[in-house]
Amino acid sequence: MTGGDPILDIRGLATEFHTSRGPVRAVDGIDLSVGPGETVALVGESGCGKTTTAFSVLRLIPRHRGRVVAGEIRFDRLDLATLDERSLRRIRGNRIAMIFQDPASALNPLMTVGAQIAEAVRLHRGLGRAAARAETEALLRAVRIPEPRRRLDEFPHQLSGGMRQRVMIALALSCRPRLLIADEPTTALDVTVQAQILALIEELKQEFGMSVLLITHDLAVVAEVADRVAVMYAGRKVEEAPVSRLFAAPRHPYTRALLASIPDPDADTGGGAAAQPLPEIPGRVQPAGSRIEGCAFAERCAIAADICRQAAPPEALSGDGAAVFCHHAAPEDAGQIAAAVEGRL
Amino acid sequence: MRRSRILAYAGRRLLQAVPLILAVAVLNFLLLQIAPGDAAEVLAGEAGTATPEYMARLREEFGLDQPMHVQLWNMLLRLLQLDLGHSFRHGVPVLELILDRLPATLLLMLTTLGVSVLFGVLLGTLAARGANGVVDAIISVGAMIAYATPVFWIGLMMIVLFSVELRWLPSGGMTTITGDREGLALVADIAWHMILPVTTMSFFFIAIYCRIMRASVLNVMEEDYVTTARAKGLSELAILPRHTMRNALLPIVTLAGLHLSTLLGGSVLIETVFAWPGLGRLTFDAVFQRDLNLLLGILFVCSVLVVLMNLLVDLLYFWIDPRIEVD
Repeated sequence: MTGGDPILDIRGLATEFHTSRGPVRAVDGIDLSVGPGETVALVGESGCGKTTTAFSVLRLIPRHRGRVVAGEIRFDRLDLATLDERSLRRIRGNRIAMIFQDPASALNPLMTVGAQIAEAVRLHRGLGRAAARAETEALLRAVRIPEPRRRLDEFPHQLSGGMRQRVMIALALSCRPRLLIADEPTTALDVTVQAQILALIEELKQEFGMSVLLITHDLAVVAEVADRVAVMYAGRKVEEAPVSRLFAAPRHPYTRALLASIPDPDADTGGGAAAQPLPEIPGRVQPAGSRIEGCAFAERCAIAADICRQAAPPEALSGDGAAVFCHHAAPEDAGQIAAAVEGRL
Repeated sequence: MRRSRILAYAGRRLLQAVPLILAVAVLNFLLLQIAPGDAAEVLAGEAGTATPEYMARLREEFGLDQPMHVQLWNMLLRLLQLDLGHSFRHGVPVLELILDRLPATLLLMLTTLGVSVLFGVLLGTLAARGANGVVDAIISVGAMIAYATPVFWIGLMMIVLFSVELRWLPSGGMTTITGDREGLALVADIAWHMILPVTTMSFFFIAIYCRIMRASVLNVMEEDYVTTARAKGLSELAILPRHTMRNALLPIVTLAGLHLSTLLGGSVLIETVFAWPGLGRLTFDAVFQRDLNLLLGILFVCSVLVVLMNLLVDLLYFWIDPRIEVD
């Protein structure tokens, strides 16, 4: 899976937002890499900085809102963190494409879907009007939109949510990117459509030979499509591991808590009163911008000790690229946890 | 499919407009009845022979001696045949007088609206692009001042400055009295005469469009589809017209549509100040001469114009915003 050099290699990325109370660090020193053909999932609660990380890769955060303040974003021997705007535009939509959470708002309501896709095709591939139209139709067919020729001239509001996300995917694939960043691609969709969209992304990933960086809070989605998972908390990465390993033997207390809060369909067999309530993670995420000395999760962690509040946890690496940042990380062969979790997946 | 539905919609709207316009005519008639004096008094006063017999003869001639409901009924019957009657003052058909003046007013109005939308949109976009910067501050303060200054005052000051003091521009009229210009020379001459009235009227509207456009562009710039456009690799300059401004223009269209009728009403003031030979001046004169038929005719034509312009704006909406359903 992870053969060859990573195509995207993020080192020590930090991104800040400007606020009236000074800069707020939404992403605080993240390392993340995506190998060729690999699907890496970035998971965490809302506000943990996963979307900011994704937006930082293409530097899509408007200048008046915030900026990347530190770190490197290596892609194809370039550093996207410091690349000039002009060269960056040649990568956006071309070599790295992105799809967003809500396809209803991510498409321009006044332009036909065909025109919106053709815009990218013409920009990066220099095709003429007619050629771009033919190519756009082929793209719509590739994302399994029925009657693609008719759909070309339709407006976003005439399509269903799932269709719109297919259009977004067609748009993203229009220049055969090497990396697709999918920011919560199924969150705004009906459950029945979610699976179709995930299957489509998976299929097209094989067909086009792309890598995927998937941003999601949905662990069910992660289990289904990811090869490797990075868990974020309060702007930092707390754990990273191959997907099977993370689900089987989570080492960070936050990861364990996250996995424990997945509803288990088997546990609740009719008798509502007898069913165990889902465990919650007590407390709330530190407000962004508050300076954290030790571990960001310490305040909510069941096993936190003094050291956790005083010193940032070191990175504990293990053989297969897995890493955990915790003073009290569970041992790698946490057999009993694995057994406990396996029953649920 | 959509086109035929839109045409049917337009037809329906036009049919609905008939009773509306007649109701407006009745209201206008009743309002004018309340106004003191009539054309007979004015004409007799000017002639210096205001004998009761002369005035009675005039009233009989104009039909003013008949009971109010008979006059109203006669007017409605005439309107349904699109006959606006004769002017008491000028003795010629009202429609002739109006058609003679209407083009000048429409020219002034539409030019003002065009200029206002153009500059308002450009300045507003410029302000939004540099939000909270120096350019934004200058534009926003300028817009505030233009918005707060009365139009008649701007008009008078412009005349004082540009025609009386500097002698750059004509103070009024539509053409130069001397010389019979033709073709392009005539067009240039009219344009030359339009500069002051159009500028004067535009100040207020530019200010409004600028403020609205600035807010609208700032809103649209935060939309997800602008991020999508950026993620496509488009430059900011390419995103601005195609994605940002197009969407930001929607409220401007609504507002400009409403302003069409405001401008029609405002033409009375501006045409009086600048001696512009349009419908506004004709209205002004008709009021003072108590030329009932002419006044009712002008108001009738104006209500038809407002209905038509509103319909046009609604049709324009179908064209620019595909989301709007034809009901």
